[in-house]
Amino acid sequence: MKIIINENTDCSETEIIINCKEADSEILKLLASLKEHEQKLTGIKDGKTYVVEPSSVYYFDTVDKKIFIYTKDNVLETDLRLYTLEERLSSNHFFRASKSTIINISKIKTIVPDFGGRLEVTLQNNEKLIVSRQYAHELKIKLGL
Amino acid sequence: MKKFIEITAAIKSFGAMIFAGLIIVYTVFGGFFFELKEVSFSLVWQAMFIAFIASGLHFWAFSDTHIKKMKYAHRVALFSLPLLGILSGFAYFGKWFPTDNTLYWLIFIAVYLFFFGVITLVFHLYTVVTGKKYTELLDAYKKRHNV
Repeated sequence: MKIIINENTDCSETEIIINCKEADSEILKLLASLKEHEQKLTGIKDGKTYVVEPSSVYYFDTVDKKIFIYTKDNVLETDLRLYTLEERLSSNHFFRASKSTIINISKIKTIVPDFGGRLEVTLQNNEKLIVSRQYAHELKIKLGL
Repeated sequence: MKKFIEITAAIKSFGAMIFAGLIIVYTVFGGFFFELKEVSFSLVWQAMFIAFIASGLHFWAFSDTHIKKMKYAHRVALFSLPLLGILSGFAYFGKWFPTDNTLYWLIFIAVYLFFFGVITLVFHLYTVVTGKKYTELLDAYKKRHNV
């Protein structure tokens, strides 16, 4: 496989073009790997930057206009805005749970209805979060209700 | 301002539901057990006040807006006990029954506890059954997406 990198100062967006005879399994694997790389997140904790796999994230929460990434045993700050995360991760089992929270469906253990059309979700670490009425519908649709 | 409107809307819609419930209960029970033919204007006003006070109390006790992280049983107590006090006040000043008779008070409290118990039980069952359904759908989702 030949790899060519064209550096151009006029280029506004990095572009990857694959020229091949056929998009076989190797090419698809390469594509998956590129996509995975694009979706990786970075979080800051104690001044150090860490790479975070989206699949390891339990939820994102906003506190005092700062966005935090909650994993099993870590809390990291991210520069990304909540709507950017929502856009980037919507195909990755994440959903908006309230104006300030995005939750990873794969980390939810149980869901129970709450007052006023809200839902209460219990995560795998037994943390409880509320899905507001406004966004409960989106979760129900994702679950096929 | 937006939050105020949201809270007001929530209290208003739940209050309207309680008001309708009170009128239905009064109409059905009054008609069946006491052969009542009408609802007094004063009682309609009382029902309206009770409905909106109960709705506000319910919002305060259960919405998480004012009280964060409290056990469900404690929330139930926080809602049911003041509500009993408020209803007793209405019963006393509205002369719902001969208020100098202890037996009537005991019946009043028993009826309140019965209805409150039934409503709480129905809600609990609804929560359990619906929660089970949601969790099954969640498990199916995880299986479908292999996560």
